[in-house]
Amino acid sequence: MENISLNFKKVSFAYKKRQILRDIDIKLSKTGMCVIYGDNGAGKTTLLRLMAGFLQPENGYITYCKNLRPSFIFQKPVLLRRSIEDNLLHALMVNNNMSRFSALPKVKNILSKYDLTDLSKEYAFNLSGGQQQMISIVRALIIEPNIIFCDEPTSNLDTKNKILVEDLLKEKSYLSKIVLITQNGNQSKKMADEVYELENCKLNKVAKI
Amino acid sequence: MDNIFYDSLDLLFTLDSYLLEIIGLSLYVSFSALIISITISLPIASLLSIKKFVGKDFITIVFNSLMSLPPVAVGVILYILISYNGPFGNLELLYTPAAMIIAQTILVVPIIVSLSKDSIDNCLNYYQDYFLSINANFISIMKTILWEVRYKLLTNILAGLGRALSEVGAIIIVGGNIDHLTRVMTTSIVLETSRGNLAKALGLGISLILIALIINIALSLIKNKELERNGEY
Repeated sequence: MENISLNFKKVSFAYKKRQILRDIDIKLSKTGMCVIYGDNGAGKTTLLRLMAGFLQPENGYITYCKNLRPSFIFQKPVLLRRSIEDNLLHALMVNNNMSRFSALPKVKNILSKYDLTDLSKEYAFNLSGGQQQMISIVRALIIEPNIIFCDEPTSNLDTKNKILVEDLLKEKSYLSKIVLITQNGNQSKKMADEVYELENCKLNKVAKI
Repeated sequence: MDNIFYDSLDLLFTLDSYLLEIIGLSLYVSFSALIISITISLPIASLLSIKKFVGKDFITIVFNSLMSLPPVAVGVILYILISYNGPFGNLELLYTPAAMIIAQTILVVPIIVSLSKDSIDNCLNYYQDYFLSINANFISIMKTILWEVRYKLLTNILAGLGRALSEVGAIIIVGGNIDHLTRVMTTSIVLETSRGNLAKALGLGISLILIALIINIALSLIKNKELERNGEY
């Protein structure tokens, strides 16, 4: 498992007697961007949630490398009813077991890095949907993950922010693993190091063009 | 009839010492019961919502059923337990404010547990994956959710307070309605009405309503101010 962050071996999953995934085999390296695309209802989110450890497989097994620090970017922003700064503090304090005193400089630093300092005291629910999604992405990054699971992170963003996020994730992929699911197969091939298609409960590797 | 009404108002405006003593004891007993109930109920509600364990659904149903506990039944059972010949007789709780606090706590806990569990469930559904993504443990989840649903919890707690303030059946049995010791607003109303002192009974009744109104209005104002500050209102 030296260069492998995550290994799926014959993983299957069903929900209410409906087979979602069958005999999924995939090995993910420790860096790079892996994009998985498929139609609505293909099981992409289920696959991602299995990878993130939110679900347990019915059959097969999933192994992880040591010192895996996962993070998750949801399709819709899931922010707490508090300020931006407190949202970021919460994630850092809980995930990284830090005190408020030691977490605050990190939060201020990352807000400054992404030009969000002016919004730090703003109440999360007062922001636009796009801004909230940006904050939830920053929140996923602040815990310094080495693997980031992204569930269609740009689906609710405008073009400008979409490009911003894709560039950000691509930059992160040089040092971490990004696993991104999307419906847009063509777009994904441009930024991915490896591409998979999820269809009929099966995962197939697709050649990059 | 008019005289009764004006006499009752006169008692209120002149701050009759008898009235003040009874109001003071009522607030002490009810708020003590409420604080104890909140301390017990919120962790129980959190456990029932967040944790998965055998018997969870059954316990939830039990708490929901206990919301309609007959107060006099609670009073009789508690009386038997704390009477001088009962298993807890040596604690000498019978006919004391402590016994009344215990009785009110027993009645209020199921209300706060059941209502709060519903509030916590709704919040947990929304944030479940977020908590999984940051490896939050039970204590972190509980603290976060209780803060997120604090306004709904306030409403649930007010329901509990209402229950406590209006309680008469159980506390008259275990308290004995003893003058200057265990006589509260509700038990006084019963006594004064039976004596024909309707002005006093009405004065106490109006006090009870006013207290409930003042507490509700004060908490609503605080809540609305904070919602406005957060841009939610």
